[in-house]
Amino acid sequence: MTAVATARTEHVFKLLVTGPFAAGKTSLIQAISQTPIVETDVDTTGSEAAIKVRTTVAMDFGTYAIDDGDIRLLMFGTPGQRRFWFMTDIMKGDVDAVIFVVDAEAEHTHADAGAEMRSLLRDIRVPVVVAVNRCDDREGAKRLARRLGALASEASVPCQLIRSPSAREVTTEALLSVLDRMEREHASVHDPLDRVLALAAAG
Amino acid sequence: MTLEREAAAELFGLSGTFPRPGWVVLDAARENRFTGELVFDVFPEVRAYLDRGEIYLVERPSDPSLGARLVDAGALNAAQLERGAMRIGGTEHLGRLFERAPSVDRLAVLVTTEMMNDSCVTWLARQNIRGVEAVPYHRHESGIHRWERAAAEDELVPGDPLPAPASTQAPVEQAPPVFEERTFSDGLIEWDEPSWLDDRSTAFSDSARAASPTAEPASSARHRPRSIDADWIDKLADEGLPEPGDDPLAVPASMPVRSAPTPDRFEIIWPSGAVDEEFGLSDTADRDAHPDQDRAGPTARIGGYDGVDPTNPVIDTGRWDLETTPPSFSAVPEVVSGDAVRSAEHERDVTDEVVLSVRRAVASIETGSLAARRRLASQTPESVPQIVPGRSATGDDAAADPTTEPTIRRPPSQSVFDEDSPTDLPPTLTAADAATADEHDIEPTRVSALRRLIGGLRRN
Repeated sequence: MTAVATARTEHVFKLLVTGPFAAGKTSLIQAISQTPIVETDVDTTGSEAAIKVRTTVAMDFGTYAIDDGDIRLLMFGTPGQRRFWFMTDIMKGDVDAVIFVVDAEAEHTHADAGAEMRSLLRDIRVPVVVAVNRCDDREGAKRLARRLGALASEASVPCQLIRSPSAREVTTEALLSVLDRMEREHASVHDPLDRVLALAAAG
Repeated sequence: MTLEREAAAELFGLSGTFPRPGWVVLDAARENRFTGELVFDVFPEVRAYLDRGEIYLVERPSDPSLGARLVDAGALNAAQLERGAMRIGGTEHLGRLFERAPSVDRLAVLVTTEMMNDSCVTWLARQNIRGVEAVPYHRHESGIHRWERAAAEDELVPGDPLPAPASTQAPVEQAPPVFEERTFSDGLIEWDEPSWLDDRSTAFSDSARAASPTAEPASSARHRPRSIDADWIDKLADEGLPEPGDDPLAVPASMPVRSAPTPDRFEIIWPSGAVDEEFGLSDTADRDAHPDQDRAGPTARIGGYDGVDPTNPVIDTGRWDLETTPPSFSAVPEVVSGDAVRSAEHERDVTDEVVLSVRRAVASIETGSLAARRRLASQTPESVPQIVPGRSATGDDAAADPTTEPTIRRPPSQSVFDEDSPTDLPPTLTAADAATADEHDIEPTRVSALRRLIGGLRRN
């Protein structure tokens, strides 16, 4: 009996969900993930215990799959505390897009959020979507994103991450940014002028 | 996982009151600043999409897609739609229409969409609605909520009181001129800060008018737009600058007449209001020792300027500290002789080692990463990748040099803590892998997979 290798092509898309403490990162992953999310939550200690009871210390992990798992979306959530930022450095290496979650109403976190975002933008060149949680105002979300250091070209999405349609919109926006980027790169590769120039260079 | 449908009647406090006219529901949604989708139980069914109470799209499920309707209406052509839309499954995403197809007439598209909405809302408002379902925060799949409309900063929230006028605000007798008639002279550099000289210019004008028998009262003249003739800088050019200690009002209208500045001379008016008429004149004996120091204080502290002999300049780059402006050879043409220019050009021919050192320092500052520092330190100038991570370096340095052999580039998204990519790729493919693999084969299937993924997320 001969084993026949089936040519199944798997496509994996990875999203990094990062942002300051208690911004809504775990809520976003929970809203999307089809499987129970892998979390590393522990009881919050210190002054942060007044904000929420449990917090992520290493990472959250959620998945979403279609086509019998051939196309998978993996979502990685980082811890929000400054002392765990090294986790973001580890995880940001190989992702297709980054969702930066910030709570519009928690203004005391915005300074840390700005520092983290600027640090992030220096090191990566994948699309970044700024999800401005607890915000309905698109202009306000854009202003906040710019204030934190996002470029004008980075998409910003006002959202309410306790609502799953809103969380899906954020995720969709991130994937659309990836798609847009891929289509543009593909278009530039297949641009007739580029082809002529490439042929001329080869000749 | 399904969309969280809620009874809009309960959401808007209309429970048990249906059927109701459509306008009542629309008004309740506006008052509640509802964001999401409303499904009206009317024949034919109508779906309205709102953003903070404002409708941005109304359509019937039987309607053609928005893109097709815009093409039919002439706001778009088919090529623009093809270029601007992102096709995801059976839907077309128009959220990036204006970015992807810059030739699209944005206003035409917005107005056409508004007109289509208007006709549908007008019809809906007159209907008797049997019930409404709401899906909060569910956006229309075309993504047109991303289209930027008019800025909403000045928008008043319903119920908010109007801002009270300030108590110190005096009633306006006559509106000030919106535009002041000004002329610009090629030989004049002027700060746009308010200057005390500006008031003095009024005094000049007023005193000149007082001397004239046909002068109007100063109170009425002050509210007029200043004419070109009354511009204070013209007065200064003709009559010279009064001493700062003098009472501006006591300055006589006829001051000693000085010759008009020749084209090779020009005045600099500093922010303090002082006028440097002799800027750039090297033969002036009593000029300041520092040409970069204005009369209000130093503005450009160049630490290496002291002791430079204009006849034999020696540019000591070691004396520049971090707080000084970097030496710019084009910025000090008056004190640099031909020899200095030649030596400066010689110094421009920096070696690769210097370039590498600078790159190391920049990388250390930018990343603060010891790993990055070690990696760069271990590289020779020939093996330095011409890529600086992050958004600050988007250029392709390798492409700039046609003699450079194409090299396999590190995936740009890698962390500074990562080692080089393994040679054996994992069985699954990611964007980073795709960059190093054959893009022509992988991209179409990956794009298609991504489209299906987005479609799946939207359907649920």
